[in-house]
Amino acid sequence: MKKNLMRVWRVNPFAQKILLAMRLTLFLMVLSVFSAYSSSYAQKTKLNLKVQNTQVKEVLNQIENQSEFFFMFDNKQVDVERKVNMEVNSMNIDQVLQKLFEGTEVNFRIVNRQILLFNENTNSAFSQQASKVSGKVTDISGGAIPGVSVVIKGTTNGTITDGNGNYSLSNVPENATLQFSFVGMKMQEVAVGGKTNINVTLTEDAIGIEEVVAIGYGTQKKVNLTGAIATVSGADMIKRPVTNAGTMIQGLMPGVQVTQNSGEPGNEGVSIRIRGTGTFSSAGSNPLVLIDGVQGNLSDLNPNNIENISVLKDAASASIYGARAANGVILVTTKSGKEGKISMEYSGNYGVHSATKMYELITNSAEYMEMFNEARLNSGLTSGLYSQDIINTYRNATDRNLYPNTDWLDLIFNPAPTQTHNLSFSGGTGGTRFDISLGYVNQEGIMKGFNYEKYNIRVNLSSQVNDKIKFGANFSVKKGVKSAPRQGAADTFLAAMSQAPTYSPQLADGSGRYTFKAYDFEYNNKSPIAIIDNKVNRNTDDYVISSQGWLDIQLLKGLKWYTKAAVNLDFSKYYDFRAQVPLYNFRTNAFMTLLDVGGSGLIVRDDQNVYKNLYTYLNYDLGIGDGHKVSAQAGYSMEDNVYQYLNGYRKNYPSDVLRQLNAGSPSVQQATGTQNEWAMMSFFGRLGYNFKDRYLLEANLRYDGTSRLNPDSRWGVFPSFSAGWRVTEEQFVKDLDLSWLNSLKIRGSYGELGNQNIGLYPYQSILALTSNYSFNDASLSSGVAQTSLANPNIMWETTSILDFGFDLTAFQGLNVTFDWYKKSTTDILRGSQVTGTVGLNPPTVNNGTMENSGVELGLQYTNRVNSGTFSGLNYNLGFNIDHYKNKLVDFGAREISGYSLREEGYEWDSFYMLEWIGIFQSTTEIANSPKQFTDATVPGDLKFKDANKDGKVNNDDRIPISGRYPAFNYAFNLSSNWKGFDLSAQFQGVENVKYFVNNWGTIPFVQGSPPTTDWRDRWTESNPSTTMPRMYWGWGAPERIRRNSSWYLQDGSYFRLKNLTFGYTLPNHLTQRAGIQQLRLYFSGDNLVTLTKYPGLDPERGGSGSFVNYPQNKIYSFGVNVKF
Amino acid sequence: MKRYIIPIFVISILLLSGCDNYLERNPLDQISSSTFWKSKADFDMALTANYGLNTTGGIWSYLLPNWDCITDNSFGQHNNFSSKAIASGDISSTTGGYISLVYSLSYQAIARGNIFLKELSVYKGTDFPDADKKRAEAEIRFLRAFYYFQLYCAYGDVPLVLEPLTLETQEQPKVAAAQILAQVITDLDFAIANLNSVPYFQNTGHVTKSTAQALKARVLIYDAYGNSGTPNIEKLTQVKDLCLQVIPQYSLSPVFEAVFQDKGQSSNTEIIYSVNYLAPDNVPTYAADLIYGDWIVVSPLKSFVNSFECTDGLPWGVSPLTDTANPFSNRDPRLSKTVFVDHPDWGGGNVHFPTNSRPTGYGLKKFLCPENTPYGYTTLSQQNSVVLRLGEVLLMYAEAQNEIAGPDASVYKAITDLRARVNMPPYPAGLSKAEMRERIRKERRIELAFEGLRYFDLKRWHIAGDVLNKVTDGMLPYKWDDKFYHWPLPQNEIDKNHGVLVQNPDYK
Repeated sequence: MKKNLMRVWRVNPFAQKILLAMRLTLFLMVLSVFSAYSSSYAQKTKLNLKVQNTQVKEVLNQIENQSEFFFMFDNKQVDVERKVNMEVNSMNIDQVLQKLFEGTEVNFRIVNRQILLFNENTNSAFSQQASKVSGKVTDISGGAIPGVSVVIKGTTNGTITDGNGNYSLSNVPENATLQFSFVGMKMQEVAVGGKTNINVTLTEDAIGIEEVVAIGYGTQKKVNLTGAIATVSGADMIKRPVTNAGTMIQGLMPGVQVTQNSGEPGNEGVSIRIRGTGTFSSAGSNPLVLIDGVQGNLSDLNPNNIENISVLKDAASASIYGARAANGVILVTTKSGKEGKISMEYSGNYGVHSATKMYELITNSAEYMEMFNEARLNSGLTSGLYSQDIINTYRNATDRNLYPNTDWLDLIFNPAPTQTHNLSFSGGTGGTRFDISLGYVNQEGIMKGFNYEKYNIRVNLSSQVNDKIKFGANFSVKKGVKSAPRQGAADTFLAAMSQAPTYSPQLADGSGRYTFKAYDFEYNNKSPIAIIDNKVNRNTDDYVISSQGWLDIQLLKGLKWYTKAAVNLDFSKYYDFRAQVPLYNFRTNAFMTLLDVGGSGLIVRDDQNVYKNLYTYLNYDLGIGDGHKVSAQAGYSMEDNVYQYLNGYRKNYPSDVLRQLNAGSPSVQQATGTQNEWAMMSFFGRLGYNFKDRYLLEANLRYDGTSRLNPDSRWGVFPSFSAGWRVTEEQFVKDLDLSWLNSLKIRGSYGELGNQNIGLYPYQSILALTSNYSFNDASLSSGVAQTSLANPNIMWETTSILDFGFDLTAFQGLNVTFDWYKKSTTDILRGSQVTGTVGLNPPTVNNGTMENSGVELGLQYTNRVNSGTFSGLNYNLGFNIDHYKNKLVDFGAREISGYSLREEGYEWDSFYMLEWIGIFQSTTEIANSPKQFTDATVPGDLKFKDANKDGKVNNDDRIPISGRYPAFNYAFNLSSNWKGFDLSAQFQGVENVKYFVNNWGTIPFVQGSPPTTDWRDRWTESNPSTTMPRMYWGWGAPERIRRNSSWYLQDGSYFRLKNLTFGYTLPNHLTQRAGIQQLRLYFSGDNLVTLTKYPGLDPERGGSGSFVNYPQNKIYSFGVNVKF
Repeated sequence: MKRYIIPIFVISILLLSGCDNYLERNPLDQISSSTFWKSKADFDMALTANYGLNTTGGIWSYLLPNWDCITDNSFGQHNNFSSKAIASGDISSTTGGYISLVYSLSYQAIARGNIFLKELSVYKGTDFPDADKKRAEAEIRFLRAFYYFQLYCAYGDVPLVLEPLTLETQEQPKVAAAQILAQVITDLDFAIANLNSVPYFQNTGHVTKSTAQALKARVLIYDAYGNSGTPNIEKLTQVKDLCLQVIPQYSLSPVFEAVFQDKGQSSNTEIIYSVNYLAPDNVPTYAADLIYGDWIVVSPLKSFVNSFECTDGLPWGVSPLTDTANPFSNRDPRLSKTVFVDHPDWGGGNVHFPTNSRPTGYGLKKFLCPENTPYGYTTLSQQNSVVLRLGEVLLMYAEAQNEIAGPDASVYKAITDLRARVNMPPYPAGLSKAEMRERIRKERRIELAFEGLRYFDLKRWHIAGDVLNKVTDGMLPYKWDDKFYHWPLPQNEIDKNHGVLVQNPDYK
C-alpha cells in the first residue's frame, strides 16, 4: 500500500499530487485533532538505521518498512538519488531526517505518520514578492479538518493542515491562488491577494463522486450502480429520539414503507414493506435484513452502531441473495474504527413521551348512566337499568370517593420518560482498528405497566497480518428486559375502555382492595389497574448474541478472497405469572369474583434459536485497457437454523410472592417443548462490465438449495441482468457543454427472486400427534391422525421485477432518482383450495400470481449560501414519494373472509362490505327504501346501498371498496446548519389508506365501555344526525348496526411532522479547553403535529381490526453529543 | 503459497457442498406417514384420534347447548356459529357458522374415519386379531354414521364419501338424501352387529352395541316424520324395538344434574355415549363453566322458563301454586337445575358473578359444576358432554309407542319414571293420543333442554314455522321459512367444486 503510493507519486508527480493528497487524507480523516497527539507517534517511535553508500530513496524505504511513517515528496524538489552513509540508533524521526538532509535545502514536515519532504527554496523563484500565508481550515460546523491539501495553483508547492486544521505556507506569490481540497469536500480556490491569513470553510461534496454504497457481498461506487438501491446514513437515522432502528428509516427512502404499529416500549411492531405486499403466501412480505452480511433483526441493533443502510429494491440488486430476497434486502453496515487517534464519544438523550391523541370518553357517571339506559332500551333490553334514584345520587353527590366520575384512561395513561445513553470508543493503530460501543435504553411506557430496558454492546475489530491479509471480527450482545401485562397492550387498553365511571379501581374504604363493579348489572372487562398493580405480567428477557469473523486475502493483483463465518444466538425467556386477585363490589364491599387473569399459575418458557452462516467468495477485477473493465465474483454460502423451546407450567401457588416453578404445587403441571430446523446451501456469482464508466452491464446469479423442499425440486436458479448508460459521459453530451447538467444515468434491470419462508416441512407427508382422548375418564390416550394432504412436488415461488429508472445530478446540488417497476410473484406457495369433502387441511401448492407495479421519485437539493446575512448557511431539502398498485392476478375461486375479499382482478384482501349511505330519518324513508335483511329498521339506523338493485339489501350487496393499500407515501426532509446551529425537520405522510375498525371505542357500551363524547351528537328524534346513528348497546346491539359496513371504514390518511431537531454545537475554541473536540446540545421532538381525518388515536397503525391500539408517542427530548 | 490458494478454495467448496445431507432436515416431533400403520398400537392411536376429534371442535360436544340458540329456547348474544343470523332467517350460502361448519367438520371426521378403514383393510399384522379389527371397524363406522346423520339433517343431499380423497378425486357430486340415510343405517347395523354388547358404562368409554342402537333410534325417529310431519308407523316400530333393547341395560341417574356434572358422570348408568374430557391436559380452552357460567354464551328465553310446570304438574300461571313474585318457587325442579337468574348460586355462599351481559336475565346452569367456581380461564372443566342418554331413549320410546298404539301403560310408565326422578307427578290418566303427543313434546323440551336436540325436534315434527315465527322475546326478530328445512351448501364449496357440486335448488 505504502509502496504503491510512493510509486504513483514518483511516476507522475505533478498531476497526481492532489489525488495523492486526497488519498492520504483518507487516512487522516479521523486522526487526532490534538497537536499533542500528532507528534506522539513520531516521538514514541525510535528508529535504527545503518546504511552505506545508499540512495536516499532506499533509506526512506527502510524507514517506511520499520515504522508506519510514509513519505510524500516531489522528486524534482528532492534529490532521492543522492547516496548517503548513516548510522542511527534509537533516534526520533525528526532527528533522523535532520541528519539525512543535513546540508541540503530539503525540509520536512511531520503530520502524524505522514512526512512531507520539500525544497525550501524551489518556489522562491516564482515571485520576488512571495510571503508566508497561514490560516485554518474548518468544516461547516466549525470543526477543524486535519489533512487538507493546500496547494498553490499551478505549482506543486503545498502543504497539508495539521491536527488543528492549521496550515502555514511560505513563499506564496502575492497573485497566487490557493487550492484547498479534501476527500468528500468541494475543492475551494482562494486568491491570496496579499493576505497573510486565509481561513477556509470546506463544504461536503454533494455529488459524491467517490460515494460508495453497500451492495450484496461487497460495495460499489454509487455512480456505477445499475440497480435500484436506496441508502441512508446512520447519522440521518439517529436524529429521531426513538429507540427502534426499524422505525428510524421511516420516510427516508422512497419505496420503503415503514409502519410502526404501536408505541409500546420494546414491542413497536414495525412493519417494513419494500414496494408493497409481494405475496399472499405464508412466506410473508418481510424483507431480508442483513447486518454486516448476516441475517439479523433491526430492532436488536443499537441505532448508534449503524454506519449506513442500503436497501436493495429491485431484482438486479437483490438477486445475489436469491431465495431470500423476494421482498427486498436491507443491508446494514455497522461502524468500524478508523486508523488514527482513539476517540471517545458520548451521546445521551432524555425524552418525555405522551400519547399523540387520547379518546374522549363520557366520564361523568350520571351522563354515562343515562346513555346506558337509552342504549339498552333502544336495543330492547328492559332489564338491568340504572334507576333514576341512582342517577340522581351520583349527579348530586358531594363525596366523589363514594360516587366517583372515574376517568379510567387518565388512570393508566401518563407522560413517561425515556433515556438513552451511548458511549463509544473508536480508532486504530498499527493496522488494527476497533469500534467499541455501549448502549443503554430505559423506556417507560405511557401506559402503566409497560417498561423496557435495552443493553447493547458491540465490538468491531479488524486487523492486518500483512498487506495482503486482513481479518476481523464483529461481536455484539443485546439484552432486552421487557415487563408488560401478560395479555399485552391492546388488551390492557380495551379493559380500561370497558370500565364504567361509576366506581374507582379500589374500594372507597381505603383498604386497597380492588373493585369489580358498582352494580351487579354493569358490565366490564377485567380491571386493568388490578392487573397492573398485581403484576399479572409476562416479563421477557431476551438475549441476542451475534458473532462473526472474517478473512480477506489479496491473492493476486485484482483477485480477492473473502470469507465470513457467523453464529447468531437468540435466547429468550419469559415468566407469565397469573396471580389470584379477589375483586369486591364497590358499594357493598362484598367479595364478588376473582380477577380474570386467563387461568392461574406460572408459565416459564425458554426459547432458543441458533443460526449459523458461512460464506466465501472470490472477487476479480480486470482492466483490459482502452477503458474496458471487467469484474467477476463467485461465492458459496451455507446456513442453518435450529429452533427449540421448553415450556413448563404449574397451576397452584400458595401465594403470588414466590414466582418460580418449584414454588408451585406439583399437583397440576405441564411440560411441552420441541425443536425444528432448516438449512440452505447456495452458490452465487456476479459479472460486471464497464466501458469507460459510460456503459455499465451487470449479471447476477444465485443457485439456492433448501431443506424445505423435496430433494427433486429443492434447487432453484435466480438470475438478474441490469444495464446503465451514463449519458453525461458521452462525448457528444460533453460537447453540448451543459453547465447545469452534472450527471445523468439511465438504467434498467430484470431479475428473479425467491421466497424461502414457506414453512419448515411443507412437502412432507406427516401425521400429527393430535386429538388425544380419555376413554376411561382417568388417563389420557394419545391420538395420531393425518390432518393434511401432502404435496411433495412443490417448488419455489418466484418474484420477478422489471425496473427502469434514472439518476440525475444538476445545478451542482440537485439529485433526482426515479424508478418505475413491475413486480410479479408467481407460483405462490399456498394452501390449495381443497374441497370440504376431502376433510383434510389443504396441501401446499404452487398456484397464484400477485402483482405490484409502482413508481418512486426521490429529490435532494443541497446548497450553501455564500453571501448575505446567511452566508455560511448550508441546507439540504429532500422529497420522496412512491405509489404502487397491488393486484391479485391469478387466485382460483374467490374467497371472502369477514370484510376481506380475495378475488382475481382486485387488490389482495380488498375491503368487501355493505356501503353505508346515510341514516334513516323517518319511517317514510324506511318504507320507501329497499328492505334491509330481516331487520326491524327504525329511524336513526344505518342505511345501506342496494348495490345490485334487486330491491332488497342483503349480503349480496356487499361490494369491494379500495383503500387497503395507500395511494401514495411521501416525505419531506429539511436539514440545515449555520454558525454552529443545526435544524432539521422530517415530514411524512400516507395518502388514501383506509382501516376497518370496530369494537371498543366505536359503538358504545361494548363490554360496558363508555361512549366517546361524539355520541352526544347521536341521532335522536330531536337531533336528526346524518353521521352518528341511533345509539345501541354494545354487543347486545342488533345486527343492523354491527354488520360489516363502510360506516366502520375510516380514512387513515395523514401528514405529520415526524421529527423536528434543533441543535447547537459550541464553538470549538471554547470546548477544546476542556479537552472536548465537539459538544452539541439539541432538542428533538417526534410526532409533534399530525394532520388527519382519522377519528381514532393515531392513523399510523398496523392495519384493520380493533379500534383500540397502543397509541403512538409524541416525544419531547433533549440530548447531548460529546466527542473527545 | 499463492498458487495453492485457488485450489484450496475450490476444494473447500466442493467438500462443503459434498455433504448433501446438510439439506436433509426432517420433523422432529411428528410422525412420517411412511412409518405409521405398522402395528396394532398405531391403530389404537388412530382410533383415539377419531374419538378425540369431537372434543376440540365442540359443535357436537361441549358446545351442543349453543344449538338451542337457533330455537325458541335461548338467545346467543355472542352470535356463535352465526346463531343470530340463522334465528332471524338470514340464511344464505355465505352465512357461515353452522351453515358451513356442519359441512366441513362432518367431512373432516368422516375423512379421518375413511383413512382408518382403508389402512385397516390392508393391514396384515398378526398382532391385531380379526375380532378386534371388526370391533375397531364398528367403532369407526358408528362415528361415521353419526356425522353423516348430521349432514343428512342439515342439508339433505350431500356427497357420499367412503374412501380417502385426493386432489384428483376431491370434486364430488351430491347424492340423494335417501342414499346418505341408507349409508347411515348400513354403518349402524354393522356397528350393532360387531360392537361389545355390554352397556356403555361398563365398556371403558368405547361405544357399544346399545350406543349404536340408541343412535339408530334417533336417526329413524327423525326420518319417520318424512317431509310432512306425519309419522311412518313402520319406522317408529323399529324405533320402539331399538329402545326396548336399550332400556333394560340402563337405569336413570337418581340425581338429574349428576348426569351433567363431573362428579356424577363416572359409571353413570344413564349415559349411553358421552364425549370425555380430562383435566388438566384435555379440556377445552374456553370450556362449559366459563362460557355458560361467566360469558353467558347461552341466554334462556323468558318463554322457555315459563314453559316449566309448577310442582303440581299444572302450567305456570294456571296452577294455584304460581308465585309471580318468586317465579322459581313451586316449579318443576328441573327449572332451577337448568336455568339460573342473574348468577349461578350453589348455596352456602358458593356464587359466581358473571362478567358478561345477561340479555334475558337468565343463564344456563345445567352443565356447570359447583366445585369449579369462580368460573374463569383458570377453570379446568372436565365434565363430559353427554350425547346419548336413557332419558332421551325413554322419551323416544314413549313418542313412538304413542303414535303406534296410543297412550298405553308403557307410555305412561316411561314418562312417569322420568318425572319421578325430579319428583314431578305423573301425567293425568286418560290423555288422548294427541294430548299425549303434545305432553311428550313439551317433556322433551324440558328434559332435553340445551342438549342440542330442540332444533331437530322442531324440524322432524315440521312445526318449526309454527313455533319459531311466534317467538317474540328472542332479543331479535325470529323468522323461519320452510326452505330452511334444508340449509344451503356453503358457497365456498360450490365455488371450489367447479360445477360438480350443485347448490340446493331453494338457494340458487
